[in-house]
Amino acid sequence: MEGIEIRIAMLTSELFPVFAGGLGKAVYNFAKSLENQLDITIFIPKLEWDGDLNCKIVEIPFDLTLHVYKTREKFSYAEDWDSRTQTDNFNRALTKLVSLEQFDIIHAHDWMTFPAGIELQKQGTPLIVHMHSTEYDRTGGNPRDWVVKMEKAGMEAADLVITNSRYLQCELEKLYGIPASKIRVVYNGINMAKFQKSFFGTKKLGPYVLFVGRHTIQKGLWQLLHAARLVIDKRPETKFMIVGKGPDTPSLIKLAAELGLHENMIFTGQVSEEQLVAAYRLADLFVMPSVSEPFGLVALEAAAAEKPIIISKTSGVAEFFYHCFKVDYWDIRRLASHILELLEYSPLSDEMSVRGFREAQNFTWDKVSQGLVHVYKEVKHG
Amino acid sequence: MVKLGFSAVLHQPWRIRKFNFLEIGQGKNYFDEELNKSLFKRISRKSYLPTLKIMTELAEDHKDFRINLSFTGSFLDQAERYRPKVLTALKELNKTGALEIAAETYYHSLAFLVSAGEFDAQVKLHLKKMKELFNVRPVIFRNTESFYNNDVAKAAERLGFKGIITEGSEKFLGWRSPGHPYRADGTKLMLLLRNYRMSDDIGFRFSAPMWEEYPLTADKYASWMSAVSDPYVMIYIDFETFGEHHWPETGIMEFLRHLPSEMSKYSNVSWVKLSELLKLKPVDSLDIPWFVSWADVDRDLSAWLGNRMQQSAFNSHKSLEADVKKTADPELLETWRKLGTSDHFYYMSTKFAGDEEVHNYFRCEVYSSPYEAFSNYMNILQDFKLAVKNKLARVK
Repeated sequence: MEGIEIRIAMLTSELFPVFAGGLGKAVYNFAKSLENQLDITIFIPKLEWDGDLNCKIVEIPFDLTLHVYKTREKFSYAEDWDSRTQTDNFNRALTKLVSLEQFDIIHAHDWMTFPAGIELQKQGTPLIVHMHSTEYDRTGGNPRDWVVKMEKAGMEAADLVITNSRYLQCELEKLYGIPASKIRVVYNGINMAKFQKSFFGTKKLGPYVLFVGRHTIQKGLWQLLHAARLVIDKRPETKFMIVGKGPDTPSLIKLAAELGLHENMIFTGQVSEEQLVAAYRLADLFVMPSVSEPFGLVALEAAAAEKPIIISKTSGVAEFFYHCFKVDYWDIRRLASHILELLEYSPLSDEMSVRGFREAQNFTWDKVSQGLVHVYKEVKHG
Repeated sequence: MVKLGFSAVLHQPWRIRKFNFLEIGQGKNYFDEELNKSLFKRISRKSYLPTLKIMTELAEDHKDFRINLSFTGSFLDQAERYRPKVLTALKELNKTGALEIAAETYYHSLAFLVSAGEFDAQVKLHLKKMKELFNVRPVIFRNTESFYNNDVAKAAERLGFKGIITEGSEKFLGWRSPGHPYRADGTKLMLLLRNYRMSDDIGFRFSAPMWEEYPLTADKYASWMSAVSDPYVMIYIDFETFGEHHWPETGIMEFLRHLPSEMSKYSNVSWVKLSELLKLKPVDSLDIPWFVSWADVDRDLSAWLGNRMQQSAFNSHKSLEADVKKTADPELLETWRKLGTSDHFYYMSTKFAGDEEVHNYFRCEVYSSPYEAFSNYMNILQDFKLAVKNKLARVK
């Protein structure tokens, strides 16, 4: 890859390890995979960022009406980032700072940075917008109008749009009217080694089914709880570990109680990276019953931790991952059936986890960076 | 002089329906009547009926034309149930005198690996069916998917066969040609070996535009056949090659229709019934201690028993034999045998290299993945186990 001289400005509202959700992690990993090949500058809000990247990091100081940057606390600020004014302020400051330097390409991640991207493109720098999810996905079909407009404007203006799955590409075509000809798919990658850690000792919990994700309507937790009821009727000793939190957490806890599942459901809340790896490694199987899931990195992580996985057909990962169960998110009885089968038939769960692990190894960051460089070249050289 | 033993097998499994874990113990039926019926009707329309018609016409027009077929019992039972016309067409072909029938296991099963008693029972059921439908007693035996070793030959000899079919694989032939007569080691049986190259020319490559010999025409194939210096060539293919694996648009039906007249241009090629090959004098005996078959590139049992799911499902099924027979319930026995059809295990294959396309071709109509094939099968087997247990409790 040497000899490519492309200067990239990456614009993002989150960056691991100071992050809220998948976006910050994804941008960090993209940057990590490219740090030694390209000249990358990452523009982020003032986060007191202290990660390890061989890139230039520029923090944007700007007026905040909310104190959302107590960054060491594990709360999500994306959900607080809901005012138009705040977005405008951020983008104004962002545009100003980026335009002080010379770049070949602006790579803007998700809608929060699109207005700046558009402005900078007007000043002459080609723009790539990267859609990690859509407002429709994040809000369970109740999108904020002004956010949708911002997403649409960004994609329409952009020279090229990057998404992380064909599934998401179809949504962009359908919901935003973006032509397929300007969309490029770059799948996410995974750091396999991180999930290889062994955890010894007795597993006090007994057999458990793992879920990881934000508690929003799009994640299919309502369906999972109802499936859990059917599973527990057959195998009362089964536990369900629900990692993460979100706006729906209280109503889910209430539903679990109503279904009589209080002894079987474990709501862990947000956990550390270390705890998350342990949760994967000790689980018997992993479920991702999302109603809509642009990619579904958690499913690849579970496969990397050598666990059998059940995923919904309405997810990005379902379009390329073979060694798993795929279900319709609304088919609660089938979901319950597959959970029971994986708990009951060890040859099934062994075969699936061994094959799934090997399959997950295909999703290397090398491939991701090749994909990104390819898109950069296309934009730069036409 | 090359003797051409042109042969095909007709088989349909009793496909099982989607069976949820939550349904175990509810006594619901296992087989997908709708799917089996619609597939059988479609394949009858596209392949069985038109192809049998052509073969019968060929037998009438060319008095030297010979065709060898083997059927599984589950194919014949489905024909009887869903499309009796297919049976009539088979009987018509039989009447011409050009047809020879080889024996198979009734349920297209791995019964040889279950028990000697079960193997004998399934072959005898098959012989009985041949007698009933066609009034013949086959002398050639072909085990399910041509799977074979020395012991299969011994079992076939015990059952009164004179010849046995398997794959002409380099695994045991080495440099030798599959076109010479060999004796099955330790028996008096003639071992008839499939020429897989010339079989696959029709079975697989016929409609592959990437193949350098594409398109394959009857005159080209006849010229290849006349150039063979071996005493015989045995072609064995899926009957559905005609019209289903290769659609009529590929020209496969015309290929078949013109083959006898093209062959007749060469005086050194003759069509034979496989039993005529028994007269050849064996050049050697072949010792094949391990299992071979005609499936996949591996040509062994790994297509059915290659992974732990397949082995576990097969063993779970096998372990029910004694209890099922103890119930003396013919319906339970028949269900158990239908569940022993090798196709169920084939759908569970996770093999990747090369053959996945073939596996997927046969699987896609039923399951989206080998994991579903396995779990579905196991759910049914759990339910069946309960049914057997209940029956035994009542008998006592």
